[in-house]
Amino acid sequence: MAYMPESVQRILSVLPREYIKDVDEVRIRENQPVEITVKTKIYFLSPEGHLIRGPEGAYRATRDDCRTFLNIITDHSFYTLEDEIRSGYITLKGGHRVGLAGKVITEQNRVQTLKYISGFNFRVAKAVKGAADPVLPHLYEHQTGKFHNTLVVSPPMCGKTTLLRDLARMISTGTKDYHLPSQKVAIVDERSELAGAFHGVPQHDVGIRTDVMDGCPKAEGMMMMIRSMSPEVLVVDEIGSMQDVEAILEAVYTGVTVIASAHGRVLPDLQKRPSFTRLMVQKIFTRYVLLSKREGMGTVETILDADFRPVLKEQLKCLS
Amino acid sequence: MLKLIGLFFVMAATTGAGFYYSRRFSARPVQIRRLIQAIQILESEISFRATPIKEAMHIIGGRFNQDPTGDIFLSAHDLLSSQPSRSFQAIWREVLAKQFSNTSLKEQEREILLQLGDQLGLSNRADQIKHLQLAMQHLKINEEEARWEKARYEKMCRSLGFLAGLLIAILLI
Repeated sequence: MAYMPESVQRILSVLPREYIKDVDEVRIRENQPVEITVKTKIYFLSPEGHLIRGPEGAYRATRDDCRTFLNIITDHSFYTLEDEIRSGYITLKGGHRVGLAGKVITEQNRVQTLKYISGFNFRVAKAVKGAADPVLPHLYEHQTGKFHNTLVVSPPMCGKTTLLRDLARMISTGTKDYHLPSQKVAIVDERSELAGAFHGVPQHDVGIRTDVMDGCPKAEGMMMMIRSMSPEVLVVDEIGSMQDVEAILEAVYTGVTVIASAHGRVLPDLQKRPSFTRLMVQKIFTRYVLLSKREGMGTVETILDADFRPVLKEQLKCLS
Repeated sequence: MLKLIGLFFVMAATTGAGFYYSRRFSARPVQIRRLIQAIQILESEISFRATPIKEAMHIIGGRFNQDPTGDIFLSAHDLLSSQPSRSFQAIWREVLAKQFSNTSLKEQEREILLQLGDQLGLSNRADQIKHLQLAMQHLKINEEEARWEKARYEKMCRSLGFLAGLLIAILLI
């Protein structure tokens, strides 16, 4: 919370500790009420420091608040983060991320920088250790001693990234409980979300044998990692483009296990997208993990195999 | 005898005052030059190395640590470290309010520094460099003016102080 401008911090300081701990998101928009998401419920902040359900009487962020907030999150030095700002978000120490919205300055149709930044989405980073615990044994093939190529499918905000991160941690560190050996893991983290790297050092625990390529375009990053770091497992978040698919195919053919995630509510969503059809027809992925937030964040709906047959008899629950 | 001692003190006081003002005239161009150098350092730190403001303040402060202008940057660095949840702009204002009176600089320079501070760290590199160069140009104009004033008033202040003392002494006798 040290990142909030003084005026907002003063209000937040009266909030009970248990709320602060559970804050998922803080949204600050110029002249609009400050919005706080606690355990997926949306609240507004009153000037006295209470969480209120409606926007009436809520504290509205001033222009000065926004400027100060930007100043603080950029470490008073906007110019050091030009690339991050161009991509629309900043990663802070501790792996927290701040999404930005404002006036875009373009040059030859390319985003040059953001000006008059007036909307902030402060996402509190939460690594949930053990999130992958119930899933991991189903992704391991005992005969070959390798992990299945896995695709995690989930709508936004259902714990997709959290699950991937914990999978990376458990695979790279190894787990005694399931007698799984430790393997070399490479993470290609285009949006600095999986590892939350700050100055190149992962801020989340992603395991002891994990290398992170931070802020790198996924397709290129995957090839770089395969060539240079000889990983056994490659973890990549939110694949979608044709190039991503090419790189995944390349990785799988070289014998690297790929664990990836994609946006989508149900499998048919993905089957409609041409880039994924190819992966599915070729049966590249031998496990599909479907998430929802039906019973809290990170509910595992089902785990399917390459032919979309459920692997699980009973329903699993993870995270919360 | 007592009278003589009294006259001596009067003379000493006015001459001292004369020297004080003349020193201000002679120190101002030197200090403006230091500010220009400081901004040059800031410019190269920002454009080539993308050094964060806090660190850049420390570098500049260390370079001019024997001088009241250096104190401005050093105390900005200290405040940025101890109160990270305040904006640079607020800190810069506070620093100038506290430290500026220790320098021989004039109101015009304070204006330039305030204006520069309002922009520092808030935009991308190309933009920052423009602001720094603008401030530098303003300071260069002020430097010239300060040199001219120095040439004109430095000696005058000194002799005026002495002569004023002499006048009072004669009147008193």
